[in-house]
Amino acid sequence: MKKHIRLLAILLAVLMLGSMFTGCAKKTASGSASGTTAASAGSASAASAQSSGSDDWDGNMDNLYTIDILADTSYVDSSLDTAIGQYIAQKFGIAFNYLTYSGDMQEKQALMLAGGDFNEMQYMQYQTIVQQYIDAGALLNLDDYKDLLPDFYTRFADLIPYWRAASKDGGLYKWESATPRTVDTEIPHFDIMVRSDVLEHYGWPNLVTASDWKAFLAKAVKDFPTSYDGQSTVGLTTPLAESWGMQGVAAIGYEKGDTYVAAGNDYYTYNDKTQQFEDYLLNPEAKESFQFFNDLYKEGLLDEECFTDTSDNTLAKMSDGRAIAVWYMSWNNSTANAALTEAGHPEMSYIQQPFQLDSQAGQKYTAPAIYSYPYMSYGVTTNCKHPERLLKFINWCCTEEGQLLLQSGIEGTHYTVENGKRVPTDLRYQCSSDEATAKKEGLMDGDVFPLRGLPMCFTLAEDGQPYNLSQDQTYIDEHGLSDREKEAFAGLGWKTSNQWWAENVEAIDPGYFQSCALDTTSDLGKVGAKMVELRVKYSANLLMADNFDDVWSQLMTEYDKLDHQKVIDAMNETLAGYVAAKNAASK
Amino acid sequence: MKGSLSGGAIPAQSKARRLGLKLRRQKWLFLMLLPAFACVVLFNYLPLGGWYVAFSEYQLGDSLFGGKFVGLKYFQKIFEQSSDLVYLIRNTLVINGVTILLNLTVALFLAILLKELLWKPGAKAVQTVTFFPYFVSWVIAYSIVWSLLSVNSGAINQFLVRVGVLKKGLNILGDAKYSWQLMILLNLWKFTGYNTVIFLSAIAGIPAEQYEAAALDGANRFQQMHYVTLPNLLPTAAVLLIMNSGWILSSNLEQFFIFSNSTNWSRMEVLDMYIYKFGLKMLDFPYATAMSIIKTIVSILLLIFVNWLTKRMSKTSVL
Repeated sequence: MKKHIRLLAILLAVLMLGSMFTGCAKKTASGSASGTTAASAGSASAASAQSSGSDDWDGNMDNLYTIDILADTSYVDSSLDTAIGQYIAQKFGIAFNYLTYSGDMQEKQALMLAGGDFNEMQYMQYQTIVQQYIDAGALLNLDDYKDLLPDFYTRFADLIPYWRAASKDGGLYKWESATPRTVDTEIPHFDIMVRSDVLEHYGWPNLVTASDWKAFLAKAVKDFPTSYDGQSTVGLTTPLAESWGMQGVAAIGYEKGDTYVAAGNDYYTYNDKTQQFEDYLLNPEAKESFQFFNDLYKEGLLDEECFTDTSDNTLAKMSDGRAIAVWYMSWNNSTANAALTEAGHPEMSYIQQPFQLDSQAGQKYTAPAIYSYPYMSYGVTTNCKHPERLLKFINWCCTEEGQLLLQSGIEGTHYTVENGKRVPTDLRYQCSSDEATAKKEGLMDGDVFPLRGLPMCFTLAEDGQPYNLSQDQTYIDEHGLSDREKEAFAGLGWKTSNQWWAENVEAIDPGYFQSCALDTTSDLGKVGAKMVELRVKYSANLLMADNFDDVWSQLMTEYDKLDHQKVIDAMNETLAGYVAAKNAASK
Repeated sequence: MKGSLSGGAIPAQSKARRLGLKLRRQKWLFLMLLPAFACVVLFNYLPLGGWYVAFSEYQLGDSLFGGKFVGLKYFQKIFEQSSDLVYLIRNTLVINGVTILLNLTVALFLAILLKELLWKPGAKAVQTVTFFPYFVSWVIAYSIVWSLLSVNSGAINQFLVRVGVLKKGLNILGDAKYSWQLMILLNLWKFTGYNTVIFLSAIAGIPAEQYEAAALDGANRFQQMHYVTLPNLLPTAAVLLIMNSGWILSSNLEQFFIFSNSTNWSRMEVLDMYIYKFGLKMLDFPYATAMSIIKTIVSILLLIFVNWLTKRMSKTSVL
């Protein structure tokens, strides 16, 4: 018996020690599992080796160089799941695994940096995280590999000065995907989505101003009290419980006019007329936007659940038509409309309509061309095993051939060339209507999925068409809309689905304002964070206030205890510094 | 038989020899204990070295000890910003304090009632059902609560509006005035079963002779409960109280992360959420670490105090 106890004790000790240290074992190189996937014949055509990096590869699909990329959303797990990814794998021997993380992305990226556990090609969301990575020495300076990146430096010559703004030493440590974006290819608008049957009921009114919308919603809630399944409708809803919800969208009415430009969810807005940063909360149009929501709330037109709703909850309300109108969340239109159609109610499909505050009525809708989009920053890290090979591939992505492949697909498969113009094939059209096909081919409409992280310009190609054919307005209207959506826009008398914005948007050169950020760990950066925190904390009180001005005064009293003006002054000094450096460089 | 020693101090050599003898005799038991001990050292004590971050200008990507030493700078900052902490500590103490007392009380009485239930299969069923929520994650718990209690679409709110009890659904998830009650009741739902099991095992350890003796003395079931069961359970309750008192400033981050929103923060935000916000979201690791150190020290002092108090009152202590 004693012998048995002894043996048991030894066995138990060994097992427990073994299991304890298994978790501590160093992670082995990733990606070999998907790298052994044999390339399917599929629609990928074999490509000859070019000097773009494919000569580093022996052509053996068992020896793919697989790189993990962090993504907040991904439609595929691996680039090899797509036709375009297969093409890239066969040509360059490179594949990408997309690691989806649905929590706070900046927190995840910070933890990866703290643990040294970042990917070979790292996604960094927003300038502050990029700066953290640069300061920690985690990113490679692309200037050291300039001879490998001639096309990269040529294509992004105008943008690289903005990208350099992230670093203190002026080095280039990142690129930004989905940049540049110009109004030729994308008219940015996240205004109001509204049920088309309600618009039709009132004779297709053209609604623009806050007053228009308030009057419309007041009638609509009475005339449409329930959805098709008997559930009560709500006037306007939006997912304020999202991390960007209360912080970003409650006051976003300020960016719909000709003065203030979309500048993110932090403590500042950008005044295009003075070309200076201003305090977000002290922006009169931000206050007016809060008042719009407060008015809706007092009249029972704002969904009470919106304060606790996430995007999924809002999408559910769109999918069964409970929401008469939705603020900001335009990217779920097609999903919601598909659900309504499947439920037998296509007439309730949502279409996007414009919004401006009453004080902005008649103004142009100022939209910056996006030259800097720190939200989608990527860099090659010190963990990269083959930086030269990766960067050669990145450089090839910046060629005309590369951009066409990434955004238009494979010639002969996804488009043909007729009279010098790219004409989408039926397969490409199918990508617009069927998500499964889009994932399989690797082509999504107007978006950077699924091959996230690679340099992609949302501009016109050398043939004068957008690189991504689905960004062409004709394509959008003919193939990106359902029959009901087309009918709704026709009812409104619009020639295109973006007519109002095409007529009213004024594109501006953003300069450096999109690149400016204060170090979050600096004293002023921390004050900035407190400014945002205070605004978010009081936002719900403002929206639900019986007396808006009283609550606003309380907020201002608290806000004035912070050194908010110093923070804005620091932002303007940063901006002035970049402009001065640019002017000096151009002399 | 060992030679007896005359009165006075035990010679040190003999003590050491006895210790060595004990170690040799129980070496296999110590060997079994070794992995658990190593785990505790590795995952609970070794990371305490990271407390250096609170005394330095740590930057992301630096080694833990790479930052410049700044002494008590961040501790000072905490007290300078103490106005932020008032509502945080209030929320933490109210929710956790009431949770601890309510959970232990309800679990104690549920255990006694289950013990008294003559139909044992029924008792087992109740025990299983009450234990099940312990294994439900907070994400699922939130989904359940949302589907039952959301203002317009929650099943309970819809029912109450339909039968005329309410004119409009109660905004339990969004209204701060319900936050404390919501968290306390959710904790009760989740942990009652777990605590009940601990009390049931304590009840199982009560010698049957005590009940027999009480029955012989003419005690009915309620009197047996009062004079036998309860007094035997009090030491267990005291131990649980002491152990939980050390956690009174700690909250389940997952729970509060999910249930907090912009409308209920004034009564929902707790100390651990603040530390998370500053440490991870705002990347101010030194500040968050300093706050955690203060919280740990206060928790230890509280534990020692409650231990001393229960020792004085009931002669039961853990330390």
